[in-house]
Amino acid sequence: MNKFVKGSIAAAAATVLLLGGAGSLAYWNDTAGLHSTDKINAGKLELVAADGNWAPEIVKWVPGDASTYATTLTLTADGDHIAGDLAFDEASIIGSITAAGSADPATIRDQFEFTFDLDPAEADLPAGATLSPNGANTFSFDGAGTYTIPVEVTVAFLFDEGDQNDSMLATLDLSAITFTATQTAP
Amino acid sequence: MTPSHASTPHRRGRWRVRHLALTALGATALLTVALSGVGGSYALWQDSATVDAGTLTTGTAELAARWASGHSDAAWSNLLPGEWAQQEFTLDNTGSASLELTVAASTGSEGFEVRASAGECGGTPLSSDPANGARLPLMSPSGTGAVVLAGGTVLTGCLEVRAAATSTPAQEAEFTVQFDGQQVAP
Repeated sequence: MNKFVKGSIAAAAATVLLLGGAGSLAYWNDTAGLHSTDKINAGKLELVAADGNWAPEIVKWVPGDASTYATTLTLTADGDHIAGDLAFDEASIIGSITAAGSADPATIRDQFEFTFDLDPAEADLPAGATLSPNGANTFSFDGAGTYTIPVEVTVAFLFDEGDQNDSMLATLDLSAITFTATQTAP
Repeated sequence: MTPSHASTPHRRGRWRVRHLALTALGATALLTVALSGVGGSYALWQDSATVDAGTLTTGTAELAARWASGHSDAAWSNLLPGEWAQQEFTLDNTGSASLELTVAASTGSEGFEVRASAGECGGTPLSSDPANGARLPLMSPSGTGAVVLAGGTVLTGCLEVRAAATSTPAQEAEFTVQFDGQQVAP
Protein backbone atom coordinates (compact mmCIF):
# COMPACT_ATOMS: atom_id res chain seq x y z
CA MET A 1 0.00 0.00 0.00
CA ASN A 2 1.59 3.22 -1.01
CA LYS A 3 1.77 6.35 1.01
CA PHE A 4 -1.04 8.09 -0.86
CA VAL A 5 -3.55 5.36 -0.07
CA LYS A 6 -2.51 5.18 3.54
CA GLY A 7 -2.84 8.92 3.86
CA SER A 8 -6.31 8.92 2.30
CA ILE A 9 -7.58 6.29 4.73
CA ALA A 10 -6.28 8.22 7.65
CA ALA A 11 -7.87 11.44 6.48
CA ALA A 12 -11.23 9.73 5.98
CA ALA A 13 -11.14 8.27 9.46
CA ALA A 14 -10.32 11.64 10.93
CA THR A 15 -13.22 13.24 9.09
CA VAL A 16 -15.69 10.66 10.40
CA LEU A 17 -14.46 11.20 13.95
CA LEU A 18 -14.67 14.96 13.63
CA LEU A 19 -18.19 14.86 12.20
CA GLY A 20 -19.69 13.45 15.31
CA GLY A 21 -18.30 10.20 16.22
CA ALA A 22 -17.54 11.53 19.65
CA GLY A 23 -20.15 14.30 20.04
CA SER A 24 -22.11 16.69 17.83
CA LEU A 25 -20.88 19.30 15.49
CA ALA A 26 -23.20 21.77 13.78
CA TYR A 27 -23.49 22.87 10.23
CA TRP A 28 -26.09 25.37 9.15
CA ASN A 29 -28.19 25.66 6.07
CA ASP A 30 -31.21 27.53 4.88
CA THR A 31 -33.66 27.49 1.96
CA ALA A 32 -35.25 30.43 0.26
CA GLY A 33 -38.23 30.20 -2.19
CA LEU A 34 -39.80 32.64 -4.59
CA HIS A 35 -43.53 32.92 -4.12
CA SER A 36 -46.09 34.74 -6.13
CA THR A 37 -49.80 35.16 -5.67
CA ASP A 38 -50.27 35.07 -9.46
CA LYS A 39 -50.93 31.86 -11.33
CA ILE A 40 -49.92 30.84 -14.77
CA ASN A 41 -53.04 30.55 -16.88
CA ALA A 42 -53.10 28.93 -20.28
CA GLY A 43 -55.49 30.29 -22.85
CA LYS A 44 -57.50 28.30 -25.34
CA LEU A 45 -58.26 27.96 -28.99
CA GLU A 46 -61.77 26.89 -29.87
CA LEU A 47 -63.63 26.76 -33.17
CA VAL A 48 -67.37 26.26 -33.40
CA ALA A 49 -69.47 26.14 -36.57
CA ALA A 50 -73.14 27.00 -36.56
CA ASP A 51 -75.73 25.15 -38.59
CA GLY A 52 -75.85 26.66 -42.04
CA ASN A 53 -78.27 26.98 -44.91
CA TRP A 54 -78.30 26.23 -48.63
CA ALA A 55 -79.34 28.95 -51.04
CA PRO A 56 -81.01 28.09 -53.25
CA GLU A 57 -82.26 24.83 -51.86
CA ILE A 58 -82.20 22.17 -54.54
CA VAL A 59 -83.95 18.86 -54.02
CA LYS A 60 -82.79 17.10 -57.18
CA TRP A 61 -79.58 18.46 -58.65
CA VAL A 62 -79.00 18.47 -62.38
CA PRO A 63 -75.86 19.45 -64.28
CA GLY A 64 -75.55 23.22 -64.31
CA ASP A 65 -76.98 23.66 -60.84
CA ALA A 66 -75.08 25.57 -58.20
CA SER A 67 -75.89 26.34 -54.62
CA THR A 68 -74.12 27.99 -51.71
CA TYR A 69 -73.94 26.71 -48.17
CA ALA A 70 -73.46 29.54 -45.72
CA THR A 71 -72.52 29.18 -42.09
CA THR A 72 -70.81 31.15 -39.36
CA LEU A 73 -67.65 30.15 -37.54
CA THR A 74 -66.99 31.33 -34.02
CA LEU A 75 -63.32 31.32 -33.17
CA THR A 76 -62.32 31.88 -29.58
CA ALA A 77 -58.63 32.70 -29.32
CA ASP A 78 -57.61 33.24 -25.73
CA GLY A 79 -53.97 34.12 -25.15
CA ASP A 80 -51.90 37.25 -25.00
CA HIS A 81 -49.88 36.40 -28.06
CA ILE A 82 -52.15 33.97 -29.81
CA ALA A 83 -52.17 33.73 -33.56
CA GLY A 84 -52.91 30.99 -36.01
CA ASP A 85 -54.42 29.81 -39.25
CA LEU A 86 -58.01 29.07 -40.08
CA ALA A 87 -58.28 26.56 -42.89
CA PHE A 88 -61.07 25.01 -44.91
CA ASP A 89 -60.51 21.37 -45.80
CA GLU A 90 -61.86 20.98 -49.33
CA ALA A 91 -61.37 17.23 -49.22
CA SER A 92 -63.85 17.01 -46.38
CA ILE A 93 -66.80 18.27 -48.40
CA ILE A 94 -67.79 14.97 -49.93
CA GLY A 95 -67.64 12.13 -47.49
CA SER A 96 -68.95 9.43 -49.78
CA ILE A 97 -70.78 9.04 -53.06
CA THR A 98 -73.49 6.54 -53.79
CA ALA A 99 -73.81 6.08 -57.52
CA ALA A 100 -76.61 4.46 -59.44
CA GLY A 101 -75.95 1.24 -61.30
CA SER A 102 -72.38 0.76 -62.42
CA ALA A 103 -71.50 4.43 -62.40
CA ASP A 104 -68.07 5.30 -61.07
CA PRO A 105 -68.23 7.50 -57.96
CA ALA A 106 -64.87 9.05 -58.84
CA THR A 107 -66.26 10.20 -62.19
CA ILE A 108 -69.22 11.75 -60.44
CA ARG A 109 -66.90 13.46 -57.97
CA ASP A 110 -65.08 15.12 -60.85
CA GLN A 111 -68.28 16.73 -62.05
CA PHE A 112 -68.51 18.89 -58.95
CA GLU A 113 -66.58 22.02 -58.20
CA PHE A 114 -66.25 23.72 -54.84
CA THR A 115 -65.44 27.27 -53.92
CA PHE A 116 -64.65 28.51 -50.43
CA ASP A 117 -65.42 32.11 -49.71
CA LEU A 118 -64.41 34.09 -46.64
CA ASP A 119 -64.44 37.85 -46.72
CA PRO A 120 -62.51 39.27 -43.73
CA ALA A 121 -64.39 42.52 -44.18
CA GLU A 122 -67.61 40.72 -43.27
CA ALA A 123 -66.13 39.14 -40.15
CA ASP A 124 -66.58 40.54 -36.67
CA LEU A 125 -63.10 40.70 -35.18
CA PRO A 126 -61.85 41.47 -31.67
CA ALA A 127 -60.37 44.90 -31.18
CA GLY A 128 -56.91 45.02 -32.66
CA ALA A 129 -57.13 41.57 -34.19
CA THR A 130 -56.50 40.79 -37.83
CA LEU A 131 -57.75 38.18 -40.27
CA SER A 132 -56.08 37.94 -43.64
CA PRO A 133 -55.68 35.47 -46.53
CA ASN A 134 -52.78 33.08 -46.28
CA GLY A 135 -52.84 30.80 -49.28
CA ALA A 136 -55.57 28.63 -50.73
CA ASN A 137 -58.51 28.13 -48.41
CA THR A 138 -56.49 29.45 -45.46
CA PHE A 139 -56.70 32.66 -43.47
CA SER A 140 -54.39 33.84 -40.71
CA PHE A 141 -55.72 35.35 -37.52
CA ASP A 142 -53.73 37.34 -35.01
CA GLY A 143 -55.01 38.63 -31.74
CA ALA A 144 -56.99 37.44 -28.78
CA GLY A 145 -60.74 37.45 -28.53
CA THR A 146 -63.78 36.05 -30.23
CA TYR A 147 -64.00 36.12 -33.98
CA THR A 148 -67.33 35.73 -35.73
CA ILE A 149 -66.63 34.73 -39.29
CA PRO A 150 -69.24 34.13 -42.01
CA VAL A 151 -68.06 31.56 -44.53
CA GLU A 152 -69.59 30.12 -47.69
CA VAL A 153 -69.00 26.97 -49.66
CA THR A 154 -70.41 27.00 -53.16
CA VAL A 155 -71.05 23.69 -54.86
CA ALA A 156 -71.37 23.66 -58.63
CA PHE A 157 -72.57 20.65 -60.61
CA LEU A 158 -70.74 21.30 -63.85
CA PHE A 159 -72.73 21.34 -67.08
CA ASP A 160 -71.17 19.74 -70.11
CA GLU A 161 -72.79 18.69 -73.33
CA GLY A 162 -70.86 15.47 -73.27
CA ASP A 163 -72.47 12.27 -72.07
CA GLN A 164 -72.71 12.65 -68.33
CA ASN A 165 -75.68 10.46 -67.60
CA ASP A 166 -73.73 8.45 -65.06
CA SER A 167 -74.32 11.18 -62.54
CA MET A 168 -78.06 10.60 -62.42
CA LEU A 169 -79.55 9.33 -59.17
CA ALA A 170 -76.36 9.81 -57.21
CA THR A 171 -76.19 10.76 -53.56
CA LEU A 172 -73.32 12.77 -52.14
CA ASP A 173 -72.70 12.92 -48.41
CA LEU A 174 -71.89 16.47 -47.31
CA SER A 175 -72.28 15.92 -43.60
CA ALA A 176 -68.73 16.63 -42.46
CA ILE A 177 -67.47 19.86 -43.97
CA THR A 178 -64.50 20.68 -41.76
CA PHE A 179 -62.80 23.91 -40.76
CA THR A 180 -59.67 23.85 -38.63
CA ALA A 181 -57.96 26.48 -36.51
CA THR A 182 -54.29 25.83 -35.83
CA GLN A 183 -52.10 27.94 -33.60
CA THR A 184 -48.89 29.30 -34.99
CA ALA A 185 -45.84 30.18 -32.90
CA PRO A 186 -45.95 33.67 -31.40
CA MET B 1 14.55 -1.92 -31.23
CA THR B 2 11.57 0.49 -31.08
CA PRO B 3 11.20 2.12 -27.66
CA SER B 4 7.91 1.36 -25.88
CA HIS B 5 5.84 4.25 -24.49
CA ALA B 6 3.13 2.09 -22.89
CA SER B 7 3.96 3.04 -19.36
CA THR B 8 5.39 6.45 -19.79
CA PRO B 9 3.86 9.41 -17.89
CA HIS B 10 3.25 11.06 -21.23
CA ARG B 11 1.09 8.13 -22.41
CA ARG B 12 -0.86 8.02 -19.13
CA GLY B 13 -1.58 11.74 -19.39
CA ARG B 14 -3.00 11.40 -22.84
CA TRP B 15 -5.18 8.54 -21.69
CA ARG B 16 -6.60 10.67 -18.84
CA VAL B 17 -7.40 13.52 -21.22
CA ARG B 18 -9.16 11.14 -23.58
CA HIS B 19 -11.08 9.63 -20.68
CA LEU B 20 -12.19 13.04 -19.47
CA ALA B 21 -13.23 14.05 -22.97
CA LEU B 22 -15.33 10.92 -23.41
CA THR B 23 -16.96 11.40 -20.03
CA ALA B 24 -17.77 15.01 -20.81
CA LEU B 25 -19.21 14.00 -24.19
CA GLY B 26 -21.45 11.40 -22.59
CA ALA B 27 -22.64 13.80 -19.95
CA THR B 28 -23.42 16.39 -22.61
CA ALA B 29 -25.41 13.85 -24.61
CA LEU B 30 -27.42 12.85 -21.57
CA LEU B 31 -28.11 16.46 -20.72
CA THR B 32 -29.18 17.20 -24.28
CA VAL B 33 -31.61 14.28 -24.33
CA ALA B 34 -33.00 15.28 -20.97
CA LEU B 35 -33.54 18.87 -22.02
CA SER B 36 -34.91 18.05 -25.44
CA GLY B 37 -38.17 16.76 -24.07
CA VAL B 38 -37.95 13.05 -24.64
CA GLY B 39 -40.71 11.59 -22.56
CA GLY B 40 -42.77 14.81 -22.67
CA SER B 41 -44.55 16.82 -25.32
CA TYR B 42 -44.64 20.34 -26.61
CA ALA B 43 -47.94 22.03 -27.23
CA LEU B 44 -49.55 23.34 -30.37
CA TRP B 45 -53.20 24.16 -30.17
CA GLN B 46 -55.66 23.10 -32.76
CA ASP B 47 -59.41 22.77 -32.95
CA SER B 48 -61.79 21.76 -35.72
CA ALA B 49 -65.41 22.43 -36.38
CA THR B 50 -67.59 20.40 -38.68
CA VAL B 51 -70.86 21.38 -40.25
CA ASP B 52 -73.45 18.96 -41.53
CA ALA B 53 -74.66 20.17 -44.90
CA GLY B 54 -76.78 17.08 -45.43
CA THR B 55 -76.79 15.16 -48.67
CA LEU B 56 -76.80 16.22 -52.27
CA THR B 57 -78.99 14.11 -54.51
CA THR B 58 -78.90 14.28 -58.26
CA GLY B 59 -81.98 13.92 -60.40
CA THR B 60 -82.70 12.27 -63.71
CA ALA B 61 -83.48 13.02 -67.32
CA GLU B 62 -86.38 10.86 -68.41
CA LEU B 63 -88.75 11.31 -71.31
CA ALA B 64 -91.82 9.21 -72.05
CA ALA B 65 -93.96 9.32 -75.22
CA ARG B 66 -97.42 7.93 -75.77
CA TRP B 67 -100.33 8.42 -78.12
CA ALA B 68 -103.13 10.61 -76.93
CA SER B 69 -106.44 8.93 -76.18
CA GLY B 70 -108.49 7.99 -79.21
CA HIS B 71 -105.50 7.12 -81.33
CA SER B 72 -106.15 4.79 -84.28
CA ASP B 73 -103.86 3.67 -87.06
CA ALA B 74 -106.88 3.80 -89.33
CA ALA B 75 -106.52 7.57 -89.35
CA TRP B 76 -103.71 7.33 -91.88
CA SER B 77 -105.10 4.64 -94.09
CA ASN B 78 -106.10 5.10 -97.72
CA LEU B 79 -104.14 8.31 -98.11
CA LEU B 80 -103.91 9.70 -101.59
CA PRO B 81 -100.84 11.59 -102.80
CA GLY B 82 -100.82 14.96 -101.08
CA GLU B 83 -103.28 13.91 -98.41
CA TRP B 84 -102.31 14.00 -94.74
CA ALA B 85 -103.66 12.81 -91.42
CA GLN B 86 -102.81 13.99 -87.92
CA GLN B 87 -103.01 12.48 -84.46
CA GLU B 88 -101.90 13.83 -81.15
CA PHE B 89 -99.29 12.46 -78.83
CA THR B 90 -98.05 13.29 -75.36
CA LEU B 91 -94.49 13.76 -74.14
CA ASP B 92 -93.93 13.48 -70.42
CA ASN B 93 -90.71 14.74 -68.86
CA THR B 94 -90.63 12.61 -65.74
CA GLY B 95 -87.12 13.66 -64.81
CA SER B 96 -85.65 16.68 -63.06
CA ALA B 97 -83.90 18.44 -65.91
CA SER B 98 -85.30 20.68 -68.60
CA LEU B 99 -84.98 18.96 -71.95
CA GLU B 100 -84.69 20.41 -75.40
CA LEU B 101 -86.66 18.17 -77.73
CA THR B 102 -85.83 16.80 -81.14
CA VAL B 103 -87.70 14.36 -83.33
CA ALA B 104 -86.56 11.79 -85.90
CA ALA B 105 -88.71 9.48 -88.02
CA SER B 106 -87.98 6.43 -90.05
CA THR B 107 -90.34 4.85 -92.56
CA GLY B 108 -90.10 1.50 -94.19
CA SER B 109 -90.31 3.01 -97.67
CA GLU B 110 -90.36 6.30 -99.47
CA GLY B 111 -93.68 7.84 -100.36
CA PHE B 112 -94.68 8.96 -96.88
CA GLU B 113 -93.55 11.97 -94.93
CA VAL B 114 -93.72 12.27 -91.16
CA ARG B 115 -93.84 15.62 -89.43
CA ALA B 116 -94.25 16.57 -85.81
CA SER B 117 -94.71 19.75 -83.85
CA ALA B 118 -95.51 20.79 -80.33
CA GLY B 119 -99.09 21.76 -79.63
CA GLU B 120 -102.44 20.31 -80.50
CA CYS B 121 -103.33 19.43 -84.06
CA GLY B 122 -105.02 22.40 -85.64
CA GLY B 123 -106.57 20.85 -88.75
CA THR B 124 -104.06 22.45 -91.07
CA PRO B 125 -100.93 20.81 -92.51
CA LEU B 126 -97.79 21.22 -90.47
CA SER B 127 -95.27 23.57 -91.94
CA SER B 128 -92.21 21.90 -90.49
CA ASP B 129 -89.80 19.84 -92.53
CA PRO B 130 -90.29 16.06 -92.76
CA ALA B 131 -88.42 14.23 -90.02
CA ASN B 132 -87.80 11.20 -92.23
CA GLY B 133 -84.20 10.15 -91.82
CA ALA B 134 -83.28 13.32 -89.99
CA ARG B 135 -83.28 14.59 -86.47
CA LEU B 136 -84.97 17.94 -86.28
CA PRO B 137 -85.84 20.27 -83.43
CA LEU B 138 -89.40 19.77 -82.27
CA MET B 139 -90.81 23.16 -83.01
CA SER B 140 -93.56 25.04 -81.34
CA PRO B 141 -96.67 25.67 -83.45
CA SER B 142 -95.44 29.15 -84.19
CA GLY B 143 -92.15 27.71 -85.38
CA THR B 144 -90.10 30.12 -83.32
CA GLY B 145 -87.70 27.61 -81.85
CA ALA B 146 -87.12 24.21 -80.40
CA VAL B 147 -89.34 23.34 -77.52
CA VAL B 148 -87.83 23.00 -74.05
CA LEU B 149 -89.84 20.77 -71.74
CA ALA B 150 -89.25 21.42 -68.07
CA GLY B 151 -88.84 18.56 -65.63
CA GLY B 152 -92.12 17.21 -64.36
CA THR B 153 -94.20 18.73 -67.16
CA VAL B 154 -96.20 17.29 -70.04
CA LEU B 155 -96.45 18.43 -73.64
CA THR B 156 -99.07 17.68 -76.24
CA GLY B 157 -97.84 17.37 -79.78
CA CYS B 158 -99.18 16.70 -83.22
CA LEU B 159 -97.89 14.02 -85.54
CA GLU B 160 -98.72 14.18 -89.21
CA VAL B 161 -98.33 11.51 -91.88
CA ARG B 162 -98.53 12.74 -95.45
CA ALA B 163 -98.61 10.71 -98.65
CA ALA B 164 -96.00 12.20 -100.90
CA ALA B 165 -96.31 12.63 -104.61
CA THR B 166 -94.05 9.63 -104.99
CA SER B 167 -96.39 7.30 -103.11
CA THR B 168 -97.84 4.42 -105.09
CA PRO B 169 -101.26 2.76 -104.91
CA ALA B 170 -101.68 0.20 -102.11
CA GLN B 171 -98.33 1.09 -100.65
CA GLU B 172 -97.85 0.28 -96.98
CA ALA B 173 -95.12 1.37 -94.61
CA GLU B 174 -94.43 1.09 -90.95
CA PHE B 175 -92.90 4.09 -89.33
CA THR B 176 -91.17 4.88 -86.08
CA VAL B 177 -90.92 8.26 -84.46
CA GLN B 178 -88.30 8.90 -81.81
CA PHE B 179 -88.24 11.91 -79.56
CA ASP B 180 -85.01 12.85 -77.88
CA GLY B 181 -84.50 15.23 -75.01
CA GLN B 182 -81.19 16.82 -74.19
CA GLN B 183 -80.72 18.77 -71.02
CA VAL B 184 -80.28 22.48 -71.22
CA ALA B 185 -78.36 24.38 -68.60
CA PRO B 186 -80.56 25.54 -65.74
